[in-house]
Amino acid sequence: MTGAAIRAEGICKSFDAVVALNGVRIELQPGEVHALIGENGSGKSTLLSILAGAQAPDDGTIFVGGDAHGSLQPRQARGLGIASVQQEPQLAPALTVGENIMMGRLAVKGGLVAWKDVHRDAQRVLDFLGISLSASAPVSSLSTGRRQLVEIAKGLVDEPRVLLLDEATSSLDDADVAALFAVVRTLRERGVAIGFVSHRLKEVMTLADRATVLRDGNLVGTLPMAELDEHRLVSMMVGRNLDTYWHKAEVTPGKVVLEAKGVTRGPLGNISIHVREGEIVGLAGLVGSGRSALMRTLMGVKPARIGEIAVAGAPVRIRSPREAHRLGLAYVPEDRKAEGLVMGWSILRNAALSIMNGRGPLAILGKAFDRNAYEHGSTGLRIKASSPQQVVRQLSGGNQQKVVIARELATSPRVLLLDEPTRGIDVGAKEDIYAQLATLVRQGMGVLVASSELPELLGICDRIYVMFRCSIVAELKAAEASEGTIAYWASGAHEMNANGAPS
Amino acid sequence: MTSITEAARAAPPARRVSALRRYVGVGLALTILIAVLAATQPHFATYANMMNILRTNSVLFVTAVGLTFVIVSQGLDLSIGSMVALGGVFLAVMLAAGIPAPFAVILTILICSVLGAAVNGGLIAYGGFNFFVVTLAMMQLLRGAALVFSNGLPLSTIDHPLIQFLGDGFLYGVPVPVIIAILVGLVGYVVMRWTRFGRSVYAVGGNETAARLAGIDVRRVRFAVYTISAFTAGIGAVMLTGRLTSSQPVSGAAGLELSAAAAVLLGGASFAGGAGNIAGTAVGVVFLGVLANGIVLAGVPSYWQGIATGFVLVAAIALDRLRSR
Repeated sequence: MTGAAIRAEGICKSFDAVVALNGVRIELQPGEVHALIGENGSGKSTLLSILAGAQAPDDGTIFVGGDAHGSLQPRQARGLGIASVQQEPQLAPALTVGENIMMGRLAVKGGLVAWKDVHRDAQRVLDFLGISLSASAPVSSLSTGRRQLVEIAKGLVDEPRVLLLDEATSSLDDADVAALFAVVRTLRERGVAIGFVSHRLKEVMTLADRATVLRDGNLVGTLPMAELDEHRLVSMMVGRNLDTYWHKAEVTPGKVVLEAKGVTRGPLGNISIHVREGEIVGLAGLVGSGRSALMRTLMGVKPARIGEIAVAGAPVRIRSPREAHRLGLAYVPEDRKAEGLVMGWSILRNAALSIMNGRGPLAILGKAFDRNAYEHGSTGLRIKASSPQQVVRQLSGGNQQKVVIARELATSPRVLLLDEPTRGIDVGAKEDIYAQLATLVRQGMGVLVASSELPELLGICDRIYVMFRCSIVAELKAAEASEGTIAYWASGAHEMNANGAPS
Repeated sequence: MTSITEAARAAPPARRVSALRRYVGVGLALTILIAVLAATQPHFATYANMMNILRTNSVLFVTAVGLTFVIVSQGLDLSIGSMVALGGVFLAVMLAAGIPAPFAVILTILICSVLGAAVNGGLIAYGGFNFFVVTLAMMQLLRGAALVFSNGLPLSTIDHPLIQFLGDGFLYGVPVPVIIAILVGLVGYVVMRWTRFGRSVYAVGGNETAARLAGIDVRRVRFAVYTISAFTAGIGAVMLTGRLTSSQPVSGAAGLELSAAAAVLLGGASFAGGAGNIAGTAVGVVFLGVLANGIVLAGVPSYWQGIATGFVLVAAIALDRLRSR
């Protein structure tokens, strides 16, 4: 193990009293993809940012190309051939792809920027990476996924020896993830050492050569991927054995509790779906395929103009989330911070936010009201906080997500709609949420889940609807479906087969 | 001292902590100001002077109560001062037309509420107009209307004892406007702190999207806060007319909206919404009142009052920012 591209030993880092890393060791070999795995708060992102020079460790040594460093400065790290790509693209949307990629190193001729050369050089980088993008396209016209690819291209202009990716795929759909992985594989062949952090174990399994697992700031171990399976990885992360990760409940579905027939609104075309009591129904589809739009329409955020919606068999008109709640629908939106929580409020107050709307405007809401809402909604969710009085801003993503779910469950809904319920949260919290959903369907609730993570949908759902371009293109039984069949429908491949080309 | 810091530490939710911090800070500054004035100005710590401070600031407080609802909901109402002036003109005109005083009072408050609800509430909540634009326009429009209806002349209400009683009377030695202010403050406090509607106002100011998705009728809440603001301005109009024994379309309540906003912000609210409360607003109003009183008692030209207010406002918010780092 002499030729490591980068190696760190005995890395310690504390934030105030919290130990984020405790004597951790990691090394990245040239030409390997190395995954950093752990629950939220395990220290993996901190370790990555120390390698990138964004943070200085309290103790430990970083070896790059044989030289020992106590810590790195960001500029120094770049000089040593270490590039890092953050979770959120840091691009100037008004500029072109090429301008963004070459920013800070624009070719100059006679005191003026040689735009032709800039775009030519940028295009060369894109072509080399196999990214099918034009260097002259404005960044504002690109999807988040495409922007992430531009971000990576930007990090690769200087031909780094080490590339660090922090949750680079968390906002990408499967097609963009595939494009990104292709780029990563190209780089691996070129001898680049790649370190990456991801919440998606599936990704880790397909991409990584080795994995370093962290738990509570301690090194659990570094193992070749060949010796690991998903189950083993999860056990290492959480430090215990998970027998039934998905918590699939065997429930015989009852009556139809939510039905949409021919619902049309904006781009959403002629949607017909139904959810039964005791059933978890999945909504699969690429980002922008209309999953979120459909949920918003069902909840009355953007009410349906055409079509019928029935709740428990009775036809209804849902013109606002208020009316939807009154009819027994509950909704956990995609973005818990922007759309779910009042971040400055306590857990208790947030827990009462939905159920309080059933009261009259001058009804007195005391501490008992909030506490009842919280206790009723959070039973079984295992929210971890110093006290229910704690402000939700201080909670981890997983616990914030649980608070939103608790708030909706406090209303005792008949149907629960969840949009990306486990995005960006750790494995332990995911498991708690799956377990809670299993409990709910056993009690006869109907659940509709939209998710980008196909293993999740296959693991927890009874049936899965696949959306493509704002229409339902397939309805699959989860037991008979596979990631392949879902991806086939979600990518529009069926149209290609029918017409010879996608319409 | 220890009890104050302990209370601040024990108050759990951050929104309340930051609001509390600021008005504890302002409250502390107020205590020092009162101590200094009491020690150096022999006329300051008298019952008469204290009641005078409260009496002269009761209109400011009543309107600031309504404005607190608006600012907590992440809005602003610039039309308060003009609404008070126009309400005064309505009242005087109705009295001159022979409408009995009790009816004239109720009608004045009602007309102000309906005007505020229809234009401010309607355009902002249901029309989707920007609150700044709408209330700025209303500030101009209502002041203009006050001048048109009165030809710019004051109209005396001296012949109506009820109006004088409401604006300048005493009950068991306590000024009536102070009693009204306390009542309005108490109702406002309870509504904001304990009712579902009050909680909705905080939710809308704290995260409008989350509030809507959770089932709050955001438009109705916005409509209500501007209606409340106009309602308290209507009450203020009656009180001010009584105190001045006439309607004052030109100078009456000029700049009141900004003084009220300053008091609300001193009390721990923020234009970012979701924070602030009536108790804080009370501290803010009293602070501005004592400051003005102290300036006069100390023989400093009253022109310095604006400078002092501005300085205190910036200092309070700067202190708040420093501490929340």
